[in-house]
Amino acid sequence: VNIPPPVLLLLGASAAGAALALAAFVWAVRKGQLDPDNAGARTVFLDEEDERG
Amino acid sequence: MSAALEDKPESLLPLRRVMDETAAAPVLLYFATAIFWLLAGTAFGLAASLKFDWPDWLGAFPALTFGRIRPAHLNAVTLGWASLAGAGCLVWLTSRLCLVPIQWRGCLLASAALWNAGMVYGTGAILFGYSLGVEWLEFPLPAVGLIAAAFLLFAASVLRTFARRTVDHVYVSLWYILAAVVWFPILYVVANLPIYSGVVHGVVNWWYGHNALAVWFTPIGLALAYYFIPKIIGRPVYSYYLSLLGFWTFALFYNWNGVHHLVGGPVPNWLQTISIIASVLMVIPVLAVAVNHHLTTVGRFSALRTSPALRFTVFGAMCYTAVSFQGSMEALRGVQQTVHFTHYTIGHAHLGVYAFLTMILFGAMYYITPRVARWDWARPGWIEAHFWLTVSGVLLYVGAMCLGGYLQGRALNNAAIPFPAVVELTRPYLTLRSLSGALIGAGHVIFAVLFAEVVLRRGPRSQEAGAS
Repeated sequence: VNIPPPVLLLLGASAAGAALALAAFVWAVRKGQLDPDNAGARTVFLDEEDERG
Repeated sequence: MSAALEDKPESLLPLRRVMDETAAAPVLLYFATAIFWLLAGTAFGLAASLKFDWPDWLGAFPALTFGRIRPAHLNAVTLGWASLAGAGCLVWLTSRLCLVPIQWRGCLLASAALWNAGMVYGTGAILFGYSLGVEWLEFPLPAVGLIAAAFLLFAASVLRTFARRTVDHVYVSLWYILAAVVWFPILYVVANLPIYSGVVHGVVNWWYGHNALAVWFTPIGLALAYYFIPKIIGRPVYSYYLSLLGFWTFALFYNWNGVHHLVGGPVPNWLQTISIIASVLMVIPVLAVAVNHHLTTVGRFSALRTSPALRFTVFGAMCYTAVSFQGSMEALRGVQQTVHFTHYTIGHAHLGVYAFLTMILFGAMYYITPRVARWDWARPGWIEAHFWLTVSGVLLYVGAMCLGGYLQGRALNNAAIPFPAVVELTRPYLTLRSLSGALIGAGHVIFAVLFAEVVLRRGPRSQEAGAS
């Protein structure tokens, strides 16, 4: 199969992007980032806690 | 900084205050230059629109002919306004969500300088006839190199800040930010390489054109919406798990969509079909976002009256739902047969980049600017005027272009209607576009004056967090 060099580059770039996303997903699962609870939703308020105290 | 706090060592200042002051210079630089490109882009866009009413206007000046100011408008508002304003917002938001002052601030200042140098070079090249002539990829290589370098510096600072975070949990906004800063530089550099020709060039063109939205502009808008809506309302996002599901399905489906711009063109059929399927599958992440934002806001709509930042953000989030469903339907072959190569596409683009993204950026800037500048907005009435001018302007714009474009498409498909009659049919809608552009432009001037007053400290001093 004669694949033009630009297409090979595009395939490589796409594979790199997909690999990064897959690695991030595996990392997130292992670290419990995707656990089905709503605790993470409160992260948005953490930057106010130093002033509440 | 107030006198009482100036004498305190950094360790005694509230962390939020330290984060804001560290981010202040780069964020305000990004914002100020973004507003310059917003005004320039608006002027180019309005002039281009008026040329449909008065074709000879400014025609004696080659730099101001339609073929040059139209791409100048596109690049000024996307790579200039939306990207610079988005970068400033992401810098501030990354710091807040990582609970650490922004890292490598010098990289950000250099990034803003290089980015604007690239914008001046690229826009000047387009106006003086050195455009590469590929839609969304008009800038010549030196300008691309400057902007790519700027982007890498920006990404380095954001990633370094993320690596130094003191919060274990990666909030959903941060996922969108990470996706944007990792994927967009790859996309921008690869798409601008001068190695493509023929069909591959067309595919790369729209792989970039659509993914500029998919992996850059949309993540910016959603990251900001997922932060500001719960933050201002004071209630966590309705279903956090749904928001994560939305992010990962977004990551899986959105980057396949670009070739739906080439439906009916000389592109392999299977490639078009995959793109159409992915476009329809985007309904899943869009529904996840729409349901979540609505159920987070429901019961607290009264906050829209008191917070301009929330008002802009919620309007933008609603338009995200609208533009996404419109885009999924527009990708279908049956719909493309009518609306392709018509003004409908222009209406869709403005529903996305303006009604969704730009309105959320305005909301974010109304919230962030007083906090980093430590100075409040001076004129609440002017903020109201800004909101209603831009909302009425963009709704009129999108309505006129979509209706006019649909009628234009039906007429173009009717062989019995001569082409001049089709052009005549669209004229009232194009005049409405110029009118809506004037409304939007007036809103932008008001916003620029308000921003200048904060930066120049002409209004009331901030008590603490600003009034937005």
